Amino acid sequence: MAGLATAGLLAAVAGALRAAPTDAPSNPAAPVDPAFAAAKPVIEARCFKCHGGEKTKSGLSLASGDLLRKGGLSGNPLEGDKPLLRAAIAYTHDEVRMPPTGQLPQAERDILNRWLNAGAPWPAGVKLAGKASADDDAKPTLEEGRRWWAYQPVAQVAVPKPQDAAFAAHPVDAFLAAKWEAAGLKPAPEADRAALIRRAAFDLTGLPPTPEEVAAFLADTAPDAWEKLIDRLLASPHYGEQQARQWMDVVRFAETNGYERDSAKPNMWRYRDWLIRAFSSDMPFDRFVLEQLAGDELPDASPSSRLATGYYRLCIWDDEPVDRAQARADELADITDTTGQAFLATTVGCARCHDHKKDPISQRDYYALTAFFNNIEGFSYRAGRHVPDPWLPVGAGAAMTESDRKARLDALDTQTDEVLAEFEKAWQAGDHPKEETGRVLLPDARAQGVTWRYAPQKADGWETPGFDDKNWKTGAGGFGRQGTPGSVVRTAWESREIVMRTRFNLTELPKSLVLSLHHDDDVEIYLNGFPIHQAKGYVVKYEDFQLPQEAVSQLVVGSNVLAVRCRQDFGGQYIDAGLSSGWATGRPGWLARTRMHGAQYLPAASWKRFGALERERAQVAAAPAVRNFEAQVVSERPGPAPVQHVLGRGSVHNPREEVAPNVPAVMRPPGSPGPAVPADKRRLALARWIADPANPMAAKVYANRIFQQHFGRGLAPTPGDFGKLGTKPSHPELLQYLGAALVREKGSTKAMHRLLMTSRAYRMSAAGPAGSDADNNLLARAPVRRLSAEEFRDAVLAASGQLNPNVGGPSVYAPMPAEVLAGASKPTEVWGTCTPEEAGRRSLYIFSKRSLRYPLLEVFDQPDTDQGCHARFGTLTPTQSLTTMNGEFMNGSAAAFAKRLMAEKPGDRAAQLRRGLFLALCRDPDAGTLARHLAFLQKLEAGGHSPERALACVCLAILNENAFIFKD
Amino acid sequence: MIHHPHSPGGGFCGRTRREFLWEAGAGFTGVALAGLLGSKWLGGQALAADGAGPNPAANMLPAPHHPAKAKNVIFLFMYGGPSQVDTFDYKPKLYELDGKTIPVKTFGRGGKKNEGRVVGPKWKFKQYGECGRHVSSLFPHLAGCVDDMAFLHAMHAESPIHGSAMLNMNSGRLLSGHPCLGSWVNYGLGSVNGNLPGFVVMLDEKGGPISGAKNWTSGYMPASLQGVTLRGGAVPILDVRAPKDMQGAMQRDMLDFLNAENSRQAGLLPAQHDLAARVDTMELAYRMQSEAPEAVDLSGETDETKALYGMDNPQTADFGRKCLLARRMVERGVRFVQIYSGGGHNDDCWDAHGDLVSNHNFHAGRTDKAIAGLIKDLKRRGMLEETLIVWGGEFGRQPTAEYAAGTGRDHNSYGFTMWLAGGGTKGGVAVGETDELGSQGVADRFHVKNLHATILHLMGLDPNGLSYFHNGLDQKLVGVEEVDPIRQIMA
Repeated sequence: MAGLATAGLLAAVAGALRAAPTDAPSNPAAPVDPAFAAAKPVIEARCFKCHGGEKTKSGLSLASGDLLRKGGLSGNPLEGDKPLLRAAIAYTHDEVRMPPTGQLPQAERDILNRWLNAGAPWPAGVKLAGKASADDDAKPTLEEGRRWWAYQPVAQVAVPKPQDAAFAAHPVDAFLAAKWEAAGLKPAPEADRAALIRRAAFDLTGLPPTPEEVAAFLADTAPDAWEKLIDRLLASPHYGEQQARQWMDVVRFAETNGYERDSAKPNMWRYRDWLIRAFSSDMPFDRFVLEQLAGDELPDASPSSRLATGYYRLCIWDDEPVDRAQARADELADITDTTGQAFLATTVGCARCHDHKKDPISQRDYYALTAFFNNIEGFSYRAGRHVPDPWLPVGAGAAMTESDRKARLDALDTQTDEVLAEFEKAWQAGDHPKEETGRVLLPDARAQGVTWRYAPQKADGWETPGFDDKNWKTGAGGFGRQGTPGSVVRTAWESREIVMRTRFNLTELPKSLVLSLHHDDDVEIYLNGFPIHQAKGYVVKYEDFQLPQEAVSQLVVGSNVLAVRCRQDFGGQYIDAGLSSGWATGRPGWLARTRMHGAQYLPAASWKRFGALERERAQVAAAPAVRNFEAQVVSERPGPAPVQHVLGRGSVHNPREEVAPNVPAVMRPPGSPGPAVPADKRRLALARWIADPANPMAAKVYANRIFQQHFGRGLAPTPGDFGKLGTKPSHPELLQYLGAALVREKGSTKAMHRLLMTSRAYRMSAAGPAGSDADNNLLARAPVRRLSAEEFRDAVLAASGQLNPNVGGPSVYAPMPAEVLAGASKPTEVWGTCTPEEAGRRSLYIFSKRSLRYPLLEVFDQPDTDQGCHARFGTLTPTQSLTTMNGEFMNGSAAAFAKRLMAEKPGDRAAQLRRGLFLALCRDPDAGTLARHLAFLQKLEAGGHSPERALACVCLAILNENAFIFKD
Repeated sequence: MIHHPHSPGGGFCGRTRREFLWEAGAGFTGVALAGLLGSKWLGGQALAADGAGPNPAANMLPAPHHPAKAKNVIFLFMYGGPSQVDTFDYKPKLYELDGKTIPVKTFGRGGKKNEGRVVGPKWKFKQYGECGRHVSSLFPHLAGCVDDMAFLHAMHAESPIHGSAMLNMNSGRLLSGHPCLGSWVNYGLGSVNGNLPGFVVMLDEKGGPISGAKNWTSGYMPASLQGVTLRGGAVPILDVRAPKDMQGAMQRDMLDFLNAENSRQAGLLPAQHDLAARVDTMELAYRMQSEAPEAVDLSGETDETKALYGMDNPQTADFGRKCLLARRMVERGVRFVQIYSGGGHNDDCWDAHGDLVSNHNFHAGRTDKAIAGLIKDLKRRGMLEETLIVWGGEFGRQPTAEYAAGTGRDHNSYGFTMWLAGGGTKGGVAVGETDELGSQGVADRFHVKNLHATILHLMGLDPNGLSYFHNGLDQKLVGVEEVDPIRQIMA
């Protein structure tokens, strides 16, 4: 078939050649170049449909010579060392191969290449009928763009004077009332006090108020009772948690890297705790910006401010990218896009491949913004980014000094040795399964020298399995200098450093793993990219190390990669490593065997003792210490930052002009060159620009988010997009006012909560007038909001008495349904376990794993963590109802709830229900409500259900009631 | 609260009616849509701008863009990457080259290489059917169906690494976080059965594929559009069975009580549609409890039908059962069913790095009869015309060996075979060619995006028109550039 098509086309080409002299009547004076005459029918037949005919894909049109040279998103396809057009038709370009459905026949390629060799002549008068370019849409000019509401400087706005004096006293009311009056709307009356405290408690702490708090508020008749309540809630330890959770959506908080292995980012939770502390202490907004974006570059940088730069570590990260350079560019783009939306509510990401189609953000702007970030170190498992713990409890017993720890561990070792001796004796006497005999998986140089690839210094990603080492040299294992004690040198190594990699195949996976190692000097070793060992200094003979199970679990059937890096200090010089299954010699081997087989070989008492010793050992080892811990923080790579190019089509392989770091032109005052950006501390310059009170966007963007938290939507309903594609604010003046208020209040988030919540508008009832504003566009009544995912789960925990109020610390693995785990590729390894107390931790402490979301939270619209979320859905779905009706968590909680009520009000059914309704709905039930619930309870009991079962069923119903699941 | 309302260029808040319906309804279906409103303020904005008034019509399904050929899709995902030259892409020359080291460009897990040792195909090919398509001896049963199958021999994907290639095949992107094909189809068309999810995924016994739920996520779309994992038995969907001590009359009593309470609370705030909507979702959930187990109950199927799917043979029973379940899902209006052959890692899936023969014999042996049974059963019931079957992995495999010894092949995204059947495709055609080694596509190469465009087109959706607004962009499954469906395989 292909052959036929070619023959037909060649005939057409031949025809065109013959027709060439008469084919350009518009310009008879200029004879048509024969190379062009031959190429033209090929272009028309093969290229034109997508590039100039019906379409102009990638912005490229071949309708005329000028358009061809103008190029598309990738620039002029004729220019450069390897012109794109030539590479595309040769099918040698990595990304662009044209035509995409299959390479042109050789004859046609020859025709096009002859034309390209001739300089791609295109007679001026010859135009193919078709489109010019898809990118020629009228784009807003910068001057037009500047007029958009969002870019106007934050300025004091005059507060309107509504006719109704009741609304004139508070600026928020004044702005809203002005519109009500214009629309002839009568605002809703004030909500009752029980509704108010529930609303305020959820908004500020994410938890329902306790019965005691409700009673105290209802009893407080002082005129400032409401203000006092707000202050109490703002001082609650749970306030910081609720605020942190809002921001975690925006920055797409998760604790794993995503992709195939989706492995954990160690200690990512410390960024979450930094957020909680920042909000609890009411860190000013400017400082909040500065620490997250440049906590390492601040003049007063501290361990705590460095933790804030965990902000940059929240990206998804591919440990085995198909294209390493592009993956780095994607990571920077992820940071740029997130920063643009989080702080500036601008979808800068639209300008990654071409100028923004609607907003005045150019592709140059995009890469100028990217340039601020392009020298930060990427994610890596490599240790080295350590930060001292800024939050150690002073004088508390939990933390240990290193000398105390060592003494305790020594003592534990002595006791453990007794059990090991006992085990060894029993083992020697017993039979052992075959698999216990170790086998060599990767021989070290003493037996035979396997082939390694090696290089004199590390390269980016050198330790990961996907790294391309084909350009490295090969040599037999045993690298070093002859004469080094205990060495078997097979390949000379005399440079300062060596990195080496070897592959080995497994057909079945061993259950245990021993590393044999000789090193002189410092060494670090990775198995399939996972760090398995590191040591400083030198040794004079091979030593065995029993590797932990997490190292064993890195092995795969098929090809595995061991990667080793060794650094020479002085004197002897040698490195070699091997792997085998089985047991290390001496104590480590006996310890490993005892762990695996102790239950079988030891008397029960000794096995129990061993377990206790191991547990204590783990506790002592894990106890916080006055030392550094591995932290998810960023720092700049050494040396000058790389030059930032505009990337055609967003591809790192298509670099265009250079750009210096700068902020988007439309956000700079007219004529301003932008903030001064020094060669180093560039992120600090960006952070200072964002945090500056004069920044036209940041304060409004932040104030809008706080407004959303209290009124169910932002004044600008798209809090991540203030551009033309976003929804315009319903009350732009009020938004301006709030932005200015944030500045005036010196960036105090708590002051903003106070300002909004002391308005009458916030305190209105949800039962307002429908009338002409059914959709409540003018906010003349309170919104009815479904509880968020976390609020719902936490409220269930609170009502049922299961809530663990501890604040901060490592995340917990709340119980996950087995059916959900079965969907993972490693069902037994993908999720951890937790104690019943940990299962009662608040929802923001549930480990956030990208490929395994927590089902209850997901079904209540906790957002996907790969991209930021600026306003959540609030859906009601049948699967959600299945979860709330049938789920294990809900039924377990209903049973706990019932048990609690029976314990608190023994023998009195009415009192139990009154208490239950109070705990769940935060108000005393009216007589009718109580009577209906009691009647239902009695019906169940009459039906033969036990008192406890019947009450649990009523409790489950209460936890499903609208009055529980919504806040009004 | 609604995620991304916007107004690109005014009018209707800039959103498509479809997008609005989903953001507002966010249920399995348009049923009870008016009640399911997630937010009135934004929904009202959109409707007011449209002049359609505050209450969208109940029971409104998004309309297809053009008449649909297919109503449902069954995507048989051969996770790990089956070898094209050992299955459907006959390369006679490759047998002779067995063991010879030749120049050939490859890119797989082991990086880019310019030469390699050929591993000759390990199975014999024969021609079958009226169309005379070649099929290897791995698929004796599917060989009998070639006149119903449309082959794409020069598929190519953007990544030869499982994680990103899986995302590529399922969501069109290498980067994580985007909605999957099944979510797009349901977003575009809605479901015709409110009591079952519209996007159902069945996983291999060995576990899920790598990246787990990212392969059936709805990304930035509402969670109701994500794939729901389906198992057999009494609890086919998470939480679809009431706990033991709640079953029977007690649960019904509780729902009656609850609905009365919730209606009462809704009555106090008549303007708040959400409150009334929860009564509907509780009842929908209640009906799912009985409908979902009925849908997976195979006791009504005849022995002959079960045997057709290979359920009488332990080797094929599991995949056969899943294929039969898929038919039953489709019968009940489930739009998109995805079945994984292979789970976990390495030889638990089609990822034959070590011993090609044992790997492919194992996986083909477990699936061949079942898939052929599915085609035949759909055909005799007259369902094949409206049910599109898609078969393939995230990529194919290289013609050369991965290691110095052995038959294992590394990944290959430069050229591989997929096939479709039913749903408006033309049986017996083969489109696309790889080179004589089967290493890369040379004629009629089609990108994964073209496959996606084809599936959407056959479902009656315009692949270049179906969009969802997110992060300032009208996001499309096929990306920003227009993508053509593969018309050569359309009936």
